[in-house]
Amino acid sequence: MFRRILLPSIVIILGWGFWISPDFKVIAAGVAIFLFGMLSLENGFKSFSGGLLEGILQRSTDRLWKSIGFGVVSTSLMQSSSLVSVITISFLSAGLIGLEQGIGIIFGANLGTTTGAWLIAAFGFKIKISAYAMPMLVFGTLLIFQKPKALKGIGYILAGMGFLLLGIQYMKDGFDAFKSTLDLTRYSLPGFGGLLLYSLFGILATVIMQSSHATLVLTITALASGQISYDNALALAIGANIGTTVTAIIGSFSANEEGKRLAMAHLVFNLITGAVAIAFIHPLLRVVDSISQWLGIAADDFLLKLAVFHSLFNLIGILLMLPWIGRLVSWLQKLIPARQPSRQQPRYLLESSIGFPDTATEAVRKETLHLWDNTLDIIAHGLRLPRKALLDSSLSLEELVSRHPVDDVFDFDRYYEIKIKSLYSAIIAYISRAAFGWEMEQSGEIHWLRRASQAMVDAIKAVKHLQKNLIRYSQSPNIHIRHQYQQLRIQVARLLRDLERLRHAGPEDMPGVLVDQLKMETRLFYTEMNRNIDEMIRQQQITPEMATSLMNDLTYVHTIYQRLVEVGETLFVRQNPALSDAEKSLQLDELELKEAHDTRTDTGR
Amino acid sequence: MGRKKLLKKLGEFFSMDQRARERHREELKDILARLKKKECELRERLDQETDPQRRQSLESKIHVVHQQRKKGIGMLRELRDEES
Repeated sequence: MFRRILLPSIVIILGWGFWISPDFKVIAAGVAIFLFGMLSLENGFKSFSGGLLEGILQRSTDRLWKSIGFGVVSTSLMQSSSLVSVITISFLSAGLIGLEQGIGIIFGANLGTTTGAWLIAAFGFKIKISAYAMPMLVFGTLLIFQKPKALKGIGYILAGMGFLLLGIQYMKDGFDAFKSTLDLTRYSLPGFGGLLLYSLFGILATVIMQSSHATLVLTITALASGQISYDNALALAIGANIGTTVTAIIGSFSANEEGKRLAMAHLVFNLITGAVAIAFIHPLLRVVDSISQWLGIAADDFLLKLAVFHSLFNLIGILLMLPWIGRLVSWLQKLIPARQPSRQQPRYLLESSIGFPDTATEAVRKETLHLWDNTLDIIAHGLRLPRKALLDSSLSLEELVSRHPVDDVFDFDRYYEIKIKSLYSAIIAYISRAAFGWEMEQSGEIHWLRRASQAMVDAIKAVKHLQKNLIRYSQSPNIHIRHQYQQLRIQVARLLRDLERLRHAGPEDMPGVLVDQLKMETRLFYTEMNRNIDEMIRQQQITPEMATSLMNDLTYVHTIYQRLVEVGETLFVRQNPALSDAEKSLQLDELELKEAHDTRTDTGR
Repeated sequence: MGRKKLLKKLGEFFSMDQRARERHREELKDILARLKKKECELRERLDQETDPQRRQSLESKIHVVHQQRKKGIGMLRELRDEES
């Protein structure tokens, strides 16, 4: 109920907000663009998983000190800890790094961001990263339209970063209306009360302006003009450090659990660091004075001393939190548990029918058909062909296959877990619990239905094994191997199309003949492909390595064919009540098929 | 059970079996006629087809239908032999 009204309520509230406040509209658009950027970034990083980027990230973050160093360096270069933290969240969501590595980068980013305070204090210099947004968007989109996978991936990353920056800019613009209310001088207070109030003020200002650097500039300006005390300025810096985590929290909305955990780690780290800095502000100030003296900073140069303080308390935060990283990770894993993918539930295996063999057999038959639907879906995904187009016999498969290249990894395991395993297990469990007689289980309908389910699983596994070389050779510069792999895809797609035709065939279409024709085609295709491979090797059109890959993959395709035709025979012929026993008895066995095949090849020569 | 009753029951059993055979034979005849028609259609299509790949596919279909017919005719003959 709550879920059903949630979306309409959000839409109504947003619509109302847009109606009454143009600034709110800009802020909301900023958040939307920002989240879109996150999705694009994740998409881009995903296309590099298993490749160069993963290798670089693994090497540069395999130790904690390396992760921290990575965070420090990248944040110093980008001058935005928010950007580094959201990129890290997308690394994590794409599975490129682990949570512990991500936390290391975030810790490092906190230290790296203090270089901004030094730059601002020393030179009044601020790199305006939002200026990069437009070129990033343009170049990113240009690259997205390119065919090579690497260029496309870079395009998504660039466009994603462009959208992130553009989103932040919009949020800033929207909050500009509220900026005038941030008059720092009005609340100048001495003591701890002032510290807490100004820390809150720093959080608020950073959330509103979406930049801890902007808060620091504001603080430094107020401090330089004597509008606030040095203590208040320090509290503002502490608050800015906490407020900057909001960007990562927004970024984690579109991320998976790992991303959310990292955003939480960022918040926890900055809150603890801030609390420690406030609690020990006086000893800290003495340390800042000593360091400043050692660095040759004048006693009244509060701007540089602020930068020293900023670096110092972040460094202390890292040193304090380092021994607790392991515990932090397990606490976060408990706090934000991994969501189990929503597994498909059986539709027809009802408890009430379990005691009646005929009803139970019908339930198993329908559930096996449900499993067939999901199998069709997962294999279509594996072939990278949209199911609807694949089954539309008015479309040419050759065109469809060339329009949809295989250029990314399909997550078979996840889909298998969600769409197949749960149903398959439920079918097996139901069969073992139902009151079927011994004969029925061993040789009757139930036996065939169980075999059909197993055959579907075997076919899916074979498609999974096929994937690696399908990606590899579909983009090969060698036209011969590319063509052969295209043929493998077409052949499996054609089989799915034929099996669906068989499913909907009436008795006048003679399904028994259709199945035997499919079996015959399997034999012919296998023979023909083997002949092609021999020919290509002889003509040196493909390397021996390519030939062995193709031979292995041809075996997978053969398995897919055999298993799926077996499924078709069980579900659409043997279990078809509209067909007479006489028609079913005419199905050809292996020997008879071989005879038909041999006759065909003899006359074909 | 008396002899008469037993004979009566046996008679019913054999006649049921006979009926089933009869039905099976009729179904076989029907399917064989449809298969013959299908084979003729496929042969006509083959005569008109010029594309080698489609011809190959049609030829394999014809062989399957032919093989099924051959099997069906054999089964029908067996049924007749059993009766006579």
